Amino acid sequence: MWDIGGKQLNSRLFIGSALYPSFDVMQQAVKASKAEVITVSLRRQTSEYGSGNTFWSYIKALNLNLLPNTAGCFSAKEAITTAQMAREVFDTHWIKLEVIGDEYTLQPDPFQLLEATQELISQGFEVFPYCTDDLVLCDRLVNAGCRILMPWGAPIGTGKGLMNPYALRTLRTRFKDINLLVDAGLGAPSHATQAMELGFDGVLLNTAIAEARDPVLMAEAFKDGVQAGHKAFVAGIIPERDMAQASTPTIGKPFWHQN
Amino acid sequence: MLTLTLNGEAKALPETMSLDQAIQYWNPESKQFAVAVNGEFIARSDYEQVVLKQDDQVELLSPIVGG
Repeated sequence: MWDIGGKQLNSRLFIGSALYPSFDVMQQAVKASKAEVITVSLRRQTSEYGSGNTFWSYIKALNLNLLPNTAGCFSAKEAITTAQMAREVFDTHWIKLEVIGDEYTLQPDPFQLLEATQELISQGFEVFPYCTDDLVLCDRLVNAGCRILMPWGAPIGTGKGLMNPYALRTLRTRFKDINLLVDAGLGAPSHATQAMELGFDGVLLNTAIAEARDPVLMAEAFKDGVQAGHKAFVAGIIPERDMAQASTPTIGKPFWHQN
Repeated sequence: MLTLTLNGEAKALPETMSLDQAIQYWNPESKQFAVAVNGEFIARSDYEQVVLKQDDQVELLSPIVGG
């Protein structure tokens, strides 16, 4: 078990609810992932999204912790209003705070993100900020009261994995008491494993599972990848060496090896 | 009669109404929603106190998938 946002969880994999071929597949994939936290969002009722009733019934049936996002917001003001609406609809003070600054990369706007974080924390929210891996930004977010940081691995939906392991390792070193999750950009289970091997507390992903040929099987693969990485971190990974070092004992070699 | 926008579409109300009355009048399909008027969140407990005005922009948002 581990603690995050006032709750105790077993799973270290947070999963998104978007992009699946169907709600049935989403439900099966989420169950296969063993995730205990699922991200959701708010939109206008339209013909494309429907009334939301069907989606809501699937989500309720999963009985997981909900992490609403502020996806699509480009200003602190929009994000704050969306967070307030999400708190009422989803009955949670958890918010995955996204404030986008660039449409091409969907890179978070650090200035608007910090402003929104400060306001939402003052209103009693548990802010899960989707941020870049910038050390100074993360420091400001922690000073604002964040107990959780969610730096990107790579831009949303790219599947590139960890673009800057050095920066992520630095965050882990500097923020020992903060829950760190890599959010976005993961493509393969090995990327999740790598994040966990760095000592991250968890990962959040959506596209890599939902758009796999078999989302249910991929969900299981990510579950295994996250567990493997976390176990490796706890077990202690050996430091890299430049020189070879025999693993088989050299004492007692037979005579034909002694030339 | 006043006109305003609901989720970006022009809507007419036959008379001045509170937000609570307007929502009953529009009767949205999903009852799982939250409301903002002119970009400001309105808590459900305040619907009766908020009186809608001409050209108000009402957003009524419901749960959808998210990453």
